[in-house]
Parts: sequence; C-alpha cells; structure tokens
Amino acid sequence: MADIHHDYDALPTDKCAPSMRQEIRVVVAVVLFVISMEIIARIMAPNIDSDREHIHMFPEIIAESAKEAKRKELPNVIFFGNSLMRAGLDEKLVSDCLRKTEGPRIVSAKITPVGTAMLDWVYLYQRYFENTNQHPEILVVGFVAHHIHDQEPIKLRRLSRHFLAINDFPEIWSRDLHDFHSIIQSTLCHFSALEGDQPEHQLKILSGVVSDYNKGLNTNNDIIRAAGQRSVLESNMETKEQTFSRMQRLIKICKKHGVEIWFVPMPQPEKWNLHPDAVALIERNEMKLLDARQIKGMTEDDFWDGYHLGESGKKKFSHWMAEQIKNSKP
Amino acid sequence: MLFNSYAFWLFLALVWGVYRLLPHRGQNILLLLASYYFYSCWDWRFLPLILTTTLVNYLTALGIERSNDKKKHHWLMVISAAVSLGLLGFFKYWGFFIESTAEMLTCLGFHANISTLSIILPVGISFYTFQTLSYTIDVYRGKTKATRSLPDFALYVAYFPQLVAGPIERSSSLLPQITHPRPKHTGNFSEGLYLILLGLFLKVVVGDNLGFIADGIFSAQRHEITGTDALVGVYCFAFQIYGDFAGYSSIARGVSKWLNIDLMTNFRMPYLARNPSDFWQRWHISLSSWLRDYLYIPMGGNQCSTIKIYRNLMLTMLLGGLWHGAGWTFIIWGGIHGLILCIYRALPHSVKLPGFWGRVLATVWFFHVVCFTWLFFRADNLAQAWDMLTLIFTQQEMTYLSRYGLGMLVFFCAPLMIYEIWLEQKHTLRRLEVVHWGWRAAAYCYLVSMLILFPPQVFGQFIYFQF
Repeated sequence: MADIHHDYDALPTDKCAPSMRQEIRVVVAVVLFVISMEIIARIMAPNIDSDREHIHMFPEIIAESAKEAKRKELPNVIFFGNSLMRAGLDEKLVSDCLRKTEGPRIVSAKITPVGTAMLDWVYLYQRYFENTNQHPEILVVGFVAHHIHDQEPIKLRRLSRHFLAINDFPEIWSRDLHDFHSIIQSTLCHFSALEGDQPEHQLKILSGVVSDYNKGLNTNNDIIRAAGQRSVLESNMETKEQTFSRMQRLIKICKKHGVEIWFVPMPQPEKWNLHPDAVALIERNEMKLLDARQIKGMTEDDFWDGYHLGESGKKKFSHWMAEQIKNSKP
Repeated sequence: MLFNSYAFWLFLALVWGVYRLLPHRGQNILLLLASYYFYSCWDWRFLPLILTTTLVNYLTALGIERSNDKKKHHWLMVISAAVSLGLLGFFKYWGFFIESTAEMLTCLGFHANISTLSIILPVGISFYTFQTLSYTIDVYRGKTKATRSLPDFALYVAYFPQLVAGPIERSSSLLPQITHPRPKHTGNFSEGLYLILLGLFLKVVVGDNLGFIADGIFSAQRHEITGTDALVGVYCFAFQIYGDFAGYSSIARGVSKWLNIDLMTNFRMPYLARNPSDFWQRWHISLSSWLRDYLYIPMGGNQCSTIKIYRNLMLTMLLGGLWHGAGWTFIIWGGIHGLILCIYRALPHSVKLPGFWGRVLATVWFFHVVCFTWLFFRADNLAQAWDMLTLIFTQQEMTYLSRYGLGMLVFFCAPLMIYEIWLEQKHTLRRLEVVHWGWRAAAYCYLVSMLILFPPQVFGQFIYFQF
C-alpha cells in the first residue's frame, strides 16, 4: 500500500482549474504547431527519399518524354512498375542495343515508384497520363505474381497523397476503400503532406534514434508473416480466389486511349506461376505478354538481394528487353 | 467503433452537439440511444443480452426495495446474480469449461467426444455484468436506493464511453450523475482534453507500437528468438497492455468530462508500485476495488485467521484472473498474483528497503515481478510461457530484434515514465492542468506530434474488449 494517502484526482482548489479562455489559447498553440509541421513537411516532401524525388519528377519526366517523342516522331515507351523494373532495366543499354542491332528507335522513360502494385498503377496512370492527356504508345508493365491481383492498398497514405487525383476520389471511395476509417485517412493524406508522407518521416526518425531499427523491424515482420502463414496452414483456411479487376481497369483505360500494354512477368531466382486468369485477361484484351520469368543464362547470382536484379542481371534483362522491342517493331 | 477511429470522433461530435442543446431528461435519452447505437456497431445481436441484464437487474432491485421480506430479498438477489452471471458464464466460459472437461476426461482415459458450440463473446459483457451486479448488491445491502426510472438505469448499464472496457462504475457514483442534472464545472473542458490526448497517446503511440513488437516475439517459434528477445517481448507487452487499457480508460474519462460526467480513475502510475498491494491500488482500480468490496471482504477479508486471509487472497485473485479470460493462462496469472500478495503479506515489515535508492530498487524489482506475471497472461499457452521463461534464464544474447525492441521501448516509454515520476512526486494526476498554459501547450504539442508521426503500422483493437 502507498505510504501516504493522497487524492491524486483532485486539484489543489477548484480555482486552479484552467479557464476556458486559457484552454482555447492552448488549443490555438497546438493548431499553430501542427500547421507549422505541415509547412515543414511540404518543404521537405520532394527530398525525403529517392522514391519521393522520383515521384515529384513524374510530371516533368512524362511531359519531357511525350514532347521528345512528338518532336522526333518516335514511339514513346514508358517502362512502368516498381523497384523490380527500376533495378532491372537500364534504358541507356536498351537504346544502345537497339542502335547496334539496327532495331527501331524509341523514346523511353521510367516511371517506377518503389513498392507499388496494380492499384497504385491504375490511379498513377489516371492522374499523370490520362488527366494530362500525355499517353505513351507503349506501356511496359513489369510485375511479379503479388503485384497484379486485387488486394488491400499496400501503402494507402502514399497512394492517396501521390497517385490519386481529386477527381478520382469518388472512384476510390466506391471501388477500393470499403471502410469509413480508410476513406477519411485517404482524404487526409491527399491534402496533407504530413499525413501522406508520415511513414517516411517515421522511418527517418526511428532509424536515426533506434539502433538496428531497419534490421529489427524486418526480423519482426518476417516472424509475424511466418506465423500468419503457419496459422493459415494449421486452420486449413481456404485461400481467397484471386481476382484481377484492377488490372482490367488499367487495360480499359489504356485501350480507350489506344495505348498498348506489354505485360512483363519479371525474372526471379525461382520460376513463379502466373495466374491463368491474368493471362486470359491479357489475351482477351489483345495486349502483349512478354514472359521474362526465365531469361536464358540468368542465374540466382544475377539478383543482388534474392528479389531485385543486380548489375549482371540488369544487363541481361535490358538486352532481352531490347530484343523484344526489336522483334515487336513498335 | 473504436476510440482511435475517425468514426468514433464523428459520432461523438454529433452526440455532443445535440447534447448541449437538450435539457437533462433529453440528454439522458440521447445518451441512451447513442449508447445502444454504439454497442450495436459491434454486433446488433448483442443488444438483447444487455437489455435482458438491464431489465432483470432493474426489476429485482425494485423488488428488493419495495419488500420488507428478507427471504424475498435473498431470492431476488439470487435471481439477479444467476441471470447476470449465467449469461456471462455461458457466453464467456462455456466453451472453455467443455473443452477443459473433455481434456480432463481424455487424461483420465475416457474417450470424450463432446461437441462445443462456437459462441461469440459479446463485447464488454464482463464489464457491464459486474457493474449491474454491484448495483443490485448495493440495493440488497441497503447502501443504495433503487432507481425507478428504467431509462436512467439502462443508461447506467449502457453508458457508451465506459460500456465495453470500463472503468466498472459503482451505482453510488454514476447513477446520481444520471438521475440528477449535471452541473458544468470550469475545468471540465481542459481536463477532458488532457485525458483524451493522454489516452490517445497511450493507446496509439505506446500500446500499439509496442504491441506490434510483442506480437512478433510472442508469435515466434522457439528457435527464432533468444532469451533477450523474449525478455524484450515481455517488457513490450507490459507497456502494450498498460498503454492500451489505461489509454481506453483515460479517453472514456475525458469524453465523459465533456459530457459533465465523472468516471473513476482506473490507473494511477501502476509501474511505480513497490509492492502488490500498492500495485492493485494503481492498476485497473475499478476491478480491484470491485473484487475487494464484493468478494474479498464478504469472504472475511483480512478480519479472520491468517490461513483464511491467504485463502481469501488466493480465491479473489484466481477469480480476478478468470474474469480476464476463459483460459488457464489467465487463471495462472491470477494465481501468481495471489501468491505474490500472500508472500508480501507473510514478509515482516522490517524487510522494507530504506531510503530513496531502496524505493527505486523496490519499484524496479516489483516491475519485473509484474512482467513475470504478464508472461503468463500474454502467452498462447502454458508451454509457450515455460519456453520463453527458460529462454530468458538460459540464452541471453543481444540480437537486432532485441536492440530494436529496447530502442523502441526507450523512445516511446521513457518520456511517459519521466512524466509519471513527476506526477508521483507531486502526488497528483492533474499537475499538468495547473502549470502555466505555455507548458501545457508544449506537452500537448509533443503528444499531438507523436500521434501524427508515430501511429502504429497496424491499426490496433483494444485488448480489453476481449475480456
């Protein structure tokens, strides 16, 4: 028992209670503080990390590429996807190969925000290509199995802040976000840099002050993921049937504007299965499927982290891509 | 509808906006309707349960008050307890009881093929059952007058800020605030704001972030973690459950302050306790005082022989453990707390450590004793608890995971603990309300910035909803 009894809930006297006026001052100070945080976040936004730098360059990259293609009267090819395409493709090498092999000349650009999947790509395309009417001739989409089927948004904050246009709100509310909390969160993130880029600020601060933050966090994530898989196996839960409605949406938008999509299942150390429904969808819409899952001569050593292509893999994949472009004669 | 969801704050804003315009009676009706709506947001099928508990306790309490027949009082009390505890027992403990019986019969060599029902646990049932039971017992004991207004009593049972996770209010405190007009107090807005911000910080920043680490470590297989990882996992869980539950109570109290209703303090710097008795006056105060007043003291409390005192302590804590959940780990958790209470009671008073450092040592030691009990509380089963305990004592080795966990603990909990030590030294929970407004604004800026910058990766439920 505590040695001395005190009334921990009481104020010394009722007169000590802060007045409403005083408390309003506190609230105003907090609101001003949050506004200043928002301003700082907006200033920092383009330089938080290389991904944000890339995202902030989208309008410029897309406009530049469209302008150059128009000027040179060459097909505009956009290499689209995430870090797999970013790490795996060397645009310069592709154009060098095409020149050496007397292949077709193209204008190309890479739009490859990291950690994105089909839902991000749908909104990204709508905001940066469709809304500005700067469609490429060919959209080369690199992916692996888990990027193309319908799933919950991986990074809702970034999607809302960077890929979603205001006029897409009704669409995302009705088709992709199914709870009130996500809808509000998404709207807040779209308008606030502080909210939208929060995970990056958090990562920067915590990796600065907590030793081994990234490694520890990854270990914890791995354990939780493995436990989740164990519990699915133990409970004999049926895995949900995969659907591809978002992929269909991307195809539909592109088709509407005469954009050809080349779907490229990306190489991985082990061959992975491409869902037959996705293949059927691509074929039904007369889009191209360029299978890069097993490029001749590619080995495990071509992947620097067991997932992304390293320097040697990049060369092999870029050569392969140049060959595909040459064969397709866009 | 969770306190840490946007839906709740929108709901509260609507309720509060209308509430301010209504007279006392209208406010009560509004709060009752809002409470039922709030409850049905989890599952409308639970509504008949809470309505049954409300009606039975309302009628039995009225019956007790209207009659002078002691025998009738007794029978009405039995009916009330049987219905309330029967519903609680069926929905919360039936599956556990059947499974344990089947396991026991199998151990004894009988082939037991008992089918269990898959029963959903109605959210908050343990809380409102204890709250209504305390009312009927108080009426039975003549300590409180039965209320004649059914809507008022229904609001006492279902009042939404504390309906699903407490504090477990007493009729002597909450009921008069419902039946009588509620005066506005000068400090209610500021106290409510303070409690809500602190509660959100505890839940969202401390509880959920550390819960993510605890969940990882407690879901690991034995070979995946070291003893240091396991120890860090237990520390993280200690602060997860504190942040989660104290956070909920704090928000419930803050919201009530804005409605001019006072709810009791449920947590008072529990990890600064120096002994078990001190701890139970700081942790889940509304439950521990309920168990003291309606179980421990009626059994004789400490006004009986030494053996009986120990028996009373053990029984109270075992039932306290069982209240938390239908599982052996909870019963063992309660049993260990009972044992700790008995051991500290058996120790001579001269064992007390002297001076400032003695107090610090006693606090740190007792925090570890509490962490030891949390290991059993959090573990999925006894085998896991034993495995982790063995690891802690045999395989200490720093890994990336433990360094990360410790770093996160310091980052999120150190400011909280420093603040709590300051409050402890000032002997008040409300010290921040009487400092210069600039200091309060600075503290709130810290809380708000932490809420904005460090929400958890995974949107967190409140742990105590499952109890």
